[in-house]
Amino acid sequence: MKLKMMYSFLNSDLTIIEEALEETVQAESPLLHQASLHLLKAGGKRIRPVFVLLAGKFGNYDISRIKNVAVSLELIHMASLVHDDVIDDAELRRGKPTIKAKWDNRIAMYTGDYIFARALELMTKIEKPFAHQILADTLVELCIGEIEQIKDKYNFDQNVRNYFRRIKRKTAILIAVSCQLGAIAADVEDEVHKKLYQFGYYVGMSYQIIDDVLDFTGTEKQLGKPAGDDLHQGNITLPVLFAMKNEEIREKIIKVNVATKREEIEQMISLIKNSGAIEKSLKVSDNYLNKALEILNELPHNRAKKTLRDIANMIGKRKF
Amino acid sequence: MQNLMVKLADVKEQINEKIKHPYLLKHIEPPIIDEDKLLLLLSLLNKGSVPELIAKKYCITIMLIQIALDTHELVSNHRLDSEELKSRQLTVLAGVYYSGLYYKILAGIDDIEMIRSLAEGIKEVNEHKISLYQKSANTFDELMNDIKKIESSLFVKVASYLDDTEWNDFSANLLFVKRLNAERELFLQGRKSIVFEAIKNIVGKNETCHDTNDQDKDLLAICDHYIDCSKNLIQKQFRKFPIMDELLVKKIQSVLSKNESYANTLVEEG
Repeated sequence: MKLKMMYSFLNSDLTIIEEALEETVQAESPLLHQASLHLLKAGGKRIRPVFVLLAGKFGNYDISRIKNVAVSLELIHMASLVHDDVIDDAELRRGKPTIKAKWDNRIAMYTGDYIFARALELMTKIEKPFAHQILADTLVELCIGEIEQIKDKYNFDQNVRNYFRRIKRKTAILIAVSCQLGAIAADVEDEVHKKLYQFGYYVGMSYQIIDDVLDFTGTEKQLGKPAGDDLHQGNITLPVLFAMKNEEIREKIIKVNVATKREEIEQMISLIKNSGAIEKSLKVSDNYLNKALEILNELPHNRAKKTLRDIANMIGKRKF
Repeated sequence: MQNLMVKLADVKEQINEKIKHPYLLKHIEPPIIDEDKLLLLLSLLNKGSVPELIAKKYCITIMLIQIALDTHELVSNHRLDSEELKSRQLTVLAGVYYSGLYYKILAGIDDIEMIRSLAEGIKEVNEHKISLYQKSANTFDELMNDIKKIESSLFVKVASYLDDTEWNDFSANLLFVKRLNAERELFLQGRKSIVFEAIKNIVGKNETCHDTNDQDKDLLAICDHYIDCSKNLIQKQFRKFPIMDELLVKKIQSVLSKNESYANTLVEEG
């Protein structure tokens, strides 16, 4: 079953979210509006709003209220993409020119800051200080995660704990908080939103590990970038860390730098694939996924719970 | 009660503590805390009914936003080598980090209303920054409005939040003059001034042929006209605030006397 089919019962609410996203980026400046809309129209899975809505189903689900969280989190994600494209000097995103490529870095910075401000403005419609404390802590953590990622580039002495902390900040925490804030906006009991946070965290960890595995096992067409690109860029991921347990492989990998030739990267990919590191990484991903599913067992039965299980299972099986 | 000078030093120290991130500061330009803006804020909050501890938190958060916005102004467009690129990457993240801290501080004191006011201010600043950057203004008034909003939107939001409309206009005009003074200086030094480029753009839309020297004088005259008008307004508004800290008075006078107007410059040169 396709991802969108799993949550088709949310379609009318997702349309409301989409309309609210468009409405929120109606800037006075025509260019700012155009730039924000350009990003919005480039699509995206809207997976964070989906998690927010599903989590909201565990409480007093009121779309007019929950949509503020869903739209706000998607806008925060969008603002970070605009800024990330400047950081990565990226020309394309989802097959379309990035804002920095279509206009320039400065316009991208203003657009990102504008979208971020709109996100916070919208979030203030949720008048629960606790929700803001959670989101504020998350935003700071996300940013520290990105700073750490730059700091750790080509650092081959980092350990698995560094990696887990990094992917928590990079991916898992925003999915976790999407679930938690959706639930808080629906006035669930503390125990429920904490469990939904845990669920999102485990799913996010599993998702990112698979993403890091696919960087070695996927094709350029599937990935939209050459295989092994993360390693080439100095991002040390779980398969690399596992492969480096072998001293011979380690000796070769630690020589990787920005100037390493493509053929050498291809050789590293083969070494990593043949080392058993991919299987070991997938095992870790599975463990996280199982933990996510176990947490779900502790939550009340409803349609959203079944959908969360289906989404988690799909993430575990994804091939690109 | 602490005097303004002591408060200024205290808040500045707290801001420095907040922005202290060893790895960031190793690779980016150290953020500059605009003391004039900080002093204005402290004065505004000092005369209101906001408890001192909260007032300081407000000052810290607003200055963090200002630093975040200023940091993103340093993100360049041109191609860079790998070390410079790292510095640019971290400059982007530093701005995001400081914005995150603003939200975190206000969330920590449950002040959702102030989070909303300042988010509106950030939104407004960026709308007008884009307009200035794109040289979208068709008239001098539109352009000057962009500059005023860029410089003062955050302050105006705080003043409105405190229901202090007089201070609102006063600080907007003062920060506007300060910015125009700085741009004027850049222009006179032959350096890039985005404001003068925008003035030139509007002049170009209305006139066809110009001698370069004459045009420079015209541009300065336009800028000075707006400086002088705002200075007059500031002086009128100034009289409405009888009790003002000596330090703030000095700062205001320093902004007002910063640049002689173009007419005076001509007299001196003549």
